[in-house]
Amino acid sequence: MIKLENVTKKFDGFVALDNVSLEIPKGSAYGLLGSNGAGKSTMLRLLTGVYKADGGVVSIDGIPVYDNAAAKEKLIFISDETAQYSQMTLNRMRKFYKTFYPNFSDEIFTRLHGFLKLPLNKKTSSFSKGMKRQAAVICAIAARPEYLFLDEAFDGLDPTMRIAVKKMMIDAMSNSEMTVVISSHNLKEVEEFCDTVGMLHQGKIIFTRDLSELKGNIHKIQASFDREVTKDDFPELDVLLIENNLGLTYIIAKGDADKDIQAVKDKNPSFCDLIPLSLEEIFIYEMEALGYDKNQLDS
Amino acid sequence: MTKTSSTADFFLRYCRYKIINGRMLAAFSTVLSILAFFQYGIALKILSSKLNNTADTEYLAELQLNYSENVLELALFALFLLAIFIGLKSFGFYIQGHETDMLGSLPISHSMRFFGDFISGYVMAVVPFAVFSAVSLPLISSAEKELGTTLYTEYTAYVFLTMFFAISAAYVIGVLAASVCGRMISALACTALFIIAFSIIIPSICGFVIDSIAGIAYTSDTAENTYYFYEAASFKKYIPSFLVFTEDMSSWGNINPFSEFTPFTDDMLNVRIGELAAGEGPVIIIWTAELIALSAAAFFITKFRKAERTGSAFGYKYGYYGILAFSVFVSACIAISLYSYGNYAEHIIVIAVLSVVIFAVFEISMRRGWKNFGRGAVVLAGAFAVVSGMLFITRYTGCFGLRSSIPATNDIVSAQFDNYVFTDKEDIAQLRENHSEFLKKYGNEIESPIGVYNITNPMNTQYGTHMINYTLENGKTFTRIYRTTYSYFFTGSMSECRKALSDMPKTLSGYPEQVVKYITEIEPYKCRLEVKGIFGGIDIKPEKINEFAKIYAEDFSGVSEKGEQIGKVSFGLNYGEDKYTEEVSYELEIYRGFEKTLAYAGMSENVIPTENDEETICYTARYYYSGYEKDSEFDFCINIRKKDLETPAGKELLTLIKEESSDSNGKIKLYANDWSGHTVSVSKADEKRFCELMADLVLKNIDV
Repeated sequence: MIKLENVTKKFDGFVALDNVSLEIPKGSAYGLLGSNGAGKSTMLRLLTGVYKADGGVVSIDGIPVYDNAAAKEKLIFISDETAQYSQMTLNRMRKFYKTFYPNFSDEIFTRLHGFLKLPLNKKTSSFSKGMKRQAAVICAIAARPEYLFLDEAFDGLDPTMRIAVKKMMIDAMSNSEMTVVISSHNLKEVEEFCDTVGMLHQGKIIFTRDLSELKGNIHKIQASFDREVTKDDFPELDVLLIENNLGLTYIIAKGDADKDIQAVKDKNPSFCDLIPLSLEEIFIYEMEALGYDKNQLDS
Repeated sequence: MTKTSSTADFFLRYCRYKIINGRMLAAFSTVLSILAFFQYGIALKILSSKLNNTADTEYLAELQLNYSENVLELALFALFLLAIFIGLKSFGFYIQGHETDMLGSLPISHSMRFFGDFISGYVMAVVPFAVFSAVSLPLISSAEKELGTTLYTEYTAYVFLTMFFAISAAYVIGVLAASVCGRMISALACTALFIIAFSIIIPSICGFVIDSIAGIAYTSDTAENTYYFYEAASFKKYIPSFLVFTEDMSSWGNINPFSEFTPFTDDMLNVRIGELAAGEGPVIIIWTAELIALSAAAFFITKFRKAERTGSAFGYKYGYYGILAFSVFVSACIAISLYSYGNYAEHIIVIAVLSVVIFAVFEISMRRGWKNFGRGAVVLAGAFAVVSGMLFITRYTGCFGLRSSIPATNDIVSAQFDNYVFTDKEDIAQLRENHSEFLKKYGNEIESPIGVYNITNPMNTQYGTHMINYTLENGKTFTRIYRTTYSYFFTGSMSECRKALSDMPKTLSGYPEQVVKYITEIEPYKCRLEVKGIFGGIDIKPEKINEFAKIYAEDFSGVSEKGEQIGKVSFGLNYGEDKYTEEVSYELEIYRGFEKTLAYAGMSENVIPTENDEETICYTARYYYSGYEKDSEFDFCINIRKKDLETPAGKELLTLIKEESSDSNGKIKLYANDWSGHTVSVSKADEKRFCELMADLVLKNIDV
């Protein structure tokens, strides 16, 4: 289990993570969501022992992570910064990972490499961003860690490769009880891959929830009223957003979907329906509820 | 479940990985190591057999040996630079411009990672050199048996030892620079700064803490005073890299560790073997301690350095300001070293200019922005004020008594002025009193550089560097070095003997008996006469020197009108602990009329016979003749063997030679076989005969 207890991290006075507590159960696929600068990369770097927390404890399976080889032996971190291996060939990367991770499997490496067909003896500095990402993923999966952390996991990958990489990771998770923590702006990928998501905003965890539960908990109701309605018309609902557009009203609300739709129907709309929400929409509405307004860019 | 490995296994695996990863550098280091002593050893072995062969073969062999020595020097220099590079490279992830040190997520602790990087880098930078140098020693030893000397092994061992520490120090400096910095450009700047700083700061600290405190104060009639914190020569041993690369702390060489890279010059051979022999144990301990201290500093800097500082110019937020302030101090040292005769105001200007230039370079290269530029400027101004204040204090306050304090007589076991050692309490008290008087009289002028131009002494304007050294009861020494004259120092109530000593050799004529006493006291180990008309020098037997001194003193007293000087006698003094220590020579005049002196020197039982008398070519006469045609010059040269001078022709030739005068057409430049010559002449009347005799001698021993 991954555990953060009251973790704070500051950079030159700027609070990147503010007293964050979080638990990620073993074997789960955890998606870390958040706007730019929310603290996702900082959190991953704290989780993997790159950063030292200014306060609180980060541990894996009860072992503090920072400067502790015993804890870090269990994890691999694929960061968004790929420059660290730029002077290595893929072959050299294999040896590098093999040096650090005794579980490294040449067999898995060969199999995955055979699938992706990356050049073995060319420096990765000559690789495209997507190829670098593939190279890192191959080595990470071949090292068979208990915990895999990916920052912007699918960044730079073309659609085919996204599917391929996702498949590799899902296979690895099903073959071993690997726990995966990924941060990504591509919420569709997270939605497809993760079973749990957490949302960071301004250095704080807004929520951590099972994805299906999350999706069940937040919903969009489309209705038609003979007047413009506002939040105040639905005091019984936990409304995140109401939009009136061309005679249609869209209500984004948290809570029990059946109860919420009944509450809307009670206001006598001429038309009322429940529309499923994607994770991306949930993310956007949650962010808007927190004052992060995408429409500000338009003004 | 993750498979785990033991710490030792993992550490070895990591080191092996690093070395394999850096195999190109290791290979380069190995090649250079082979080109160093190993190559030299092989060359010496091959060529030693030819060195006692024919002249041509010997000449070629020496040429090849010189070539081999040059290769060795270049290889050592390259190894030094390579060690710095390996140091930077081994910790290169800090300075490659990465935003964050992502390697922190690898299953390795900071400590283990440091030691892995450090040891693997050290193995690449130093071990090939150590191995191939060690292998070369038996080769050199075996070669020199044929040469009949142990000098090569002795010297190679010495240079090897110093270079071992020098290369190690270079490596650690590279590591330290990479640890402190976050970008390549700042790391390179810091490497240069550290090398300069270690050449100045470490010797200074060691000088104050470990060794005696020595100050040099200059009083000069040609320039304003300059004060140095320390007498630098004795501190060379404290810094490995510095020791190898510089000879003299009083010039640019003080701060440029590469300026005098001449490990195979005779001077170094003579001086440094002696240095090492004198202090090998302590020196090695000091060098080792320095390396450990610097390595420990690098360890703690990397261990506690935040991963997020990797992309910054410096590993610690305030590191930049520390380096900036430090660079001001180094600029002060550079200013004083380069511009030693400047006054306070001039030094301040040079420091200000250098500081601002360094600051500008830092700021531009670090691209820190205007906000940080302002902060940096404040730090720079502060550092400048502190350094200027320090300089002011040392100039105008006597550096907290450093220039004015003298130990109490009761605390002094022995005192030394230059090479004269006094153990008698009365003498010590006298020397101390003179020292005190000197400081009272001239102390202000030493301490205040302004207005020193008026210090002149009509009696003696010869300035020299003179050392006063007190050995104290507690075992410590107290040393001061002044650039001044004897007459400034030895004034007032000095004893007659000291007066004679102080003004040697100019005022000896009034103190003949002191001369004898002096010569007896100083126990010269050699005594040589060089007299016009007598070819070559005459060496008095050591056991006869005191007797000779008495004869000389008698002549000195007996001949009231000294008149024409016809020669000189030099007394070689050796105050060193071994044969390599610099020899000091004192010369006294021989005037016409010093018959007893000359007679004594003419008796074979009093002099050391010349070796290979029959074969030695002892004289070269070069005759410049311009008597036959105007502006023509006839130049010929003959070598005359000593034994030929005893032939009738030789003896007659000697009678014709006299001092150069107006009644001669030509002049003869006579050279002894040490090429110390003087010009004599023959009169017009004797010219023809002289030429005949020369021709006669040429026919006997032609070598034109």
